[in-house]
Amino acid sequence: MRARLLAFFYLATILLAATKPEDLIPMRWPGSDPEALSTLDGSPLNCLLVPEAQLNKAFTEAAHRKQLTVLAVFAHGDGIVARVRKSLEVGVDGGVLEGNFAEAETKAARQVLDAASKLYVDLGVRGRIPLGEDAPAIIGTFQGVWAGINPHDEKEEAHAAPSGAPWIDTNAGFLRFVRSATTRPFWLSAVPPPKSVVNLARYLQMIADPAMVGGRWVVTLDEGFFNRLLLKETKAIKDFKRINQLVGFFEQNRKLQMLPPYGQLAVVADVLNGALLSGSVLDMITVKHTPVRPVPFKSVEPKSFNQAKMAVNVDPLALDEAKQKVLKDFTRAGGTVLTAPPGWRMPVPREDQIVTDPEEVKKLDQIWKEVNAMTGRRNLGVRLFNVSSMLSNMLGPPDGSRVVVYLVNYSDFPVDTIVVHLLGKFSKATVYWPERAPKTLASYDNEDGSGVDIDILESAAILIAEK
Amino acid sequence: MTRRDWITLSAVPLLGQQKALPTAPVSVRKCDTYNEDFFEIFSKMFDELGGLGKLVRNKTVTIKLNLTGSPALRFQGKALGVTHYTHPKHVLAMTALLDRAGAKRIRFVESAWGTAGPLAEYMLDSGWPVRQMTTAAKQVEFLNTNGLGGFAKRYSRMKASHGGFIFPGFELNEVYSETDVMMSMAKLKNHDTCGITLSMKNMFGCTPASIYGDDAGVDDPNESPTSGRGAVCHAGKRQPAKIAMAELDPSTPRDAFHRMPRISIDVVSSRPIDIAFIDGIETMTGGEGPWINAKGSFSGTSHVKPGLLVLGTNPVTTDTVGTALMGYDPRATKGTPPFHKCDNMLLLAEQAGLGTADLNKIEVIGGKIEDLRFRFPMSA
Repeated sequence: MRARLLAFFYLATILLAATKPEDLIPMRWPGSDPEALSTLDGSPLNCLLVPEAQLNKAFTEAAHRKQLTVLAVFAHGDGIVARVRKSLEVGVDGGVLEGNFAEAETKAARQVLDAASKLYVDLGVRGRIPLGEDAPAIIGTFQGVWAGINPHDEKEEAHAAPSGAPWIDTNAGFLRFVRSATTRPFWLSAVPPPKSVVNLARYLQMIADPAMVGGRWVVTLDEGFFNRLLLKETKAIKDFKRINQLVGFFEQNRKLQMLPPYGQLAVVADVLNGALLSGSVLDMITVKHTPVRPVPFKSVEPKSFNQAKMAVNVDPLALDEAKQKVLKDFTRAGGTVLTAPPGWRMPVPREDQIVTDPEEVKKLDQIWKEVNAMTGRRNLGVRLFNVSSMLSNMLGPPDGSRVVVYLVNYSDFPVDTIVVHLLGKFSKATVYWPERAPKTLASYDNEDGSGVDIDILESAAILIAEK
Repeated sequence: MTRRDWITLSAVPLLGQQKALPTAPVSVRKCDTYNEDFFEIFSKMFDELGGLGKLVRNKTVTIKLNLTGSPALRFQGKALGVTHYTHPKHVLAMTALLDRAGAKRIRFVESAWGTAGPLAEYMLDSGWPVRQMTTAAKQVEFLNTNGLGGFAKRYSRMKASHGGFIFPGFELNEVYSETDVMMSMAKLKNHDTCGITLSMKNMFGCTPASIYGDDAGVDDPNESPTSGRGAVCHAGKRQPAKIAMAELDPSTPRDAFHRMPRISIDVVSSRPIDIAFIDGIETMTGGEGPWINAKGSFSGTSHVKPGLLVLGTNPVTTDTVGTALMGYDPRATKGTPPFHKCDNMLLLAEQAGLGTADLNKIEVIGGKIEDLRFRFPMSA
């Protein structure tokens, strides 16, 4: 009960103070009826992304009365400056450029919004996500993958050989890199796949996928769901409550995302060698549940490797002499560096590219095998068992006094008996679920340090262990 | 069917008439859920077979589990134990029961898919309560027999009692030779290549991938195997590592439907089964795991709830009853389901002298086959 009350007050606080960009929790709202906004009563979603054509003054005023932020969404097209100016006339709080805009267009639109002291959100091409100091207050991309388990290919022949795990489509890998490169709030505006039934579990996976690594999905319901919700159909309302519950869960725990990545494996990667692509080395390591700390080129300095024991250098030719020396010093201090073969180079991603090409996957496979051989069964922070349908993210302060493990289930079924082997001794462990009250777990000693068992996991969980 | 197949299989009834084949009773139960007291159920089933104590007291019991395929591969996302793996609740109950019956040591073995890593970790990855298992009996051990490692230091040569169909014997992890009582805990399933996979086919997994795997060394074992046994066993494209006995006749068909039923019997003949258990409470039809799809031998797979348990002390009689419970004729010859593509391993087991596949010569206790039968795909 206490936990629920705290959650309520926390959400209420978020709603009332939702003016800072980092506090905005986005949802796409393809409607213009002020009355329909009652659907959001009690929801943690506090920022509506409304297509420019559907905006009207009555709607924005009604939204403001409910403490909701309204952003106009502009798709690629002519006359962006005029369109942005027009949206300001109906009282929006900012604008979102979603799509493949030319640099000049984004610059012009941003100038108009800045001049009006309105928020500018860039949801452009993934390969051009602004990561520098001059980046907008909120960055992101429209080019996300729809998260979930990649279904078995029915066209394949039956095999006598039962091979490896199904691949999980995720945005977590490239978002890990983004988090290491910038502290800007990050939004992902992927839309439900067309011509397919999207069940509740898939929405929950899409929320949890970026949230696990500090990003936010722009909650986007398919047209049928959205319409049923506005008509207040029982099932639609019930499903939307679950969506709100999961969004609220990650928001309540958002302060944990201030913690840096934890773990002893560093991956030196950057935009030029595919760190923004799905299916990259970061995704491959993520699937193996090895805790990883991405190190962008600009951060290749001694302190970035303080907690690391191993490092993967995906593209050694891309590092200048000074940065190569940092890695040499790391090995001299006892660290292990896995370097890609001589002459090996990831091609610079194409502008429209969001997933590694099959040829690139073949190349990455060489590195992947080496990474596997190097990490083996070693515990580089945490080892997780019975998590083939899940992905995880480990965070924690450098002193190791506390570790946080996010777990997200990408299957449509709850998973039971998850075993967590933490590196080092931890005396206290608590698991937090969206669907249940937090539970203190009994920890036991094992060869790695401490172990805890999580009975069941439905959509997501956060494990916090303290020394 | 080749001339050689025809001669082999047509000789089976004749051979059966010439010498009395071993038989043993088989206990069957209707059991609809995994929420039962399996300690009590198994205890009663063993009592019907003459009691467990005399079989296992002061003995080392080795339990071959069925953990086929990567734990990451789930059928429709379901728990592995309700589709194609041995169910952990059965294993926990069996462990406690064996301990109470006086077993000196209980060893769980499996050649885990694509790894020679610790079996306990593979089981953790499968969602098994490993810590509970270790405390369910006095001495419980786990060993991945895909290679050496753990407490196993060498391989043992175990020869097929009938001389072998394909292999005259096998180099197996020494744990199999240091076993007093061998138990096979299997699942009631179809098999894409062998038609059925019950207690005998389960034993194929005893063969170490270090020697019989696709990436086995030419001369010596590869103690870090990462693949299955398709090239050596299913397709016969290469021989096992030379420390093992080579095939008897490399000119025999390089056809998995010919080879795999025979190799499975060769393994059982080399490492005989003393206790055969088959879980058919929930399972999958149409194949042995989720990697089998609509293009498989049974044109599709599904999750079903036959609600059956089968236990015996002779693997041939136990599998014969299991096959009949699946709705198939245990004596069906090649061409008739479930052996529509392969040879019938039950008849091959008869030919090897391991037991009878004649239902008329098997005492079934605990229920009637016709009352309990659950029809699997393509059954009559």
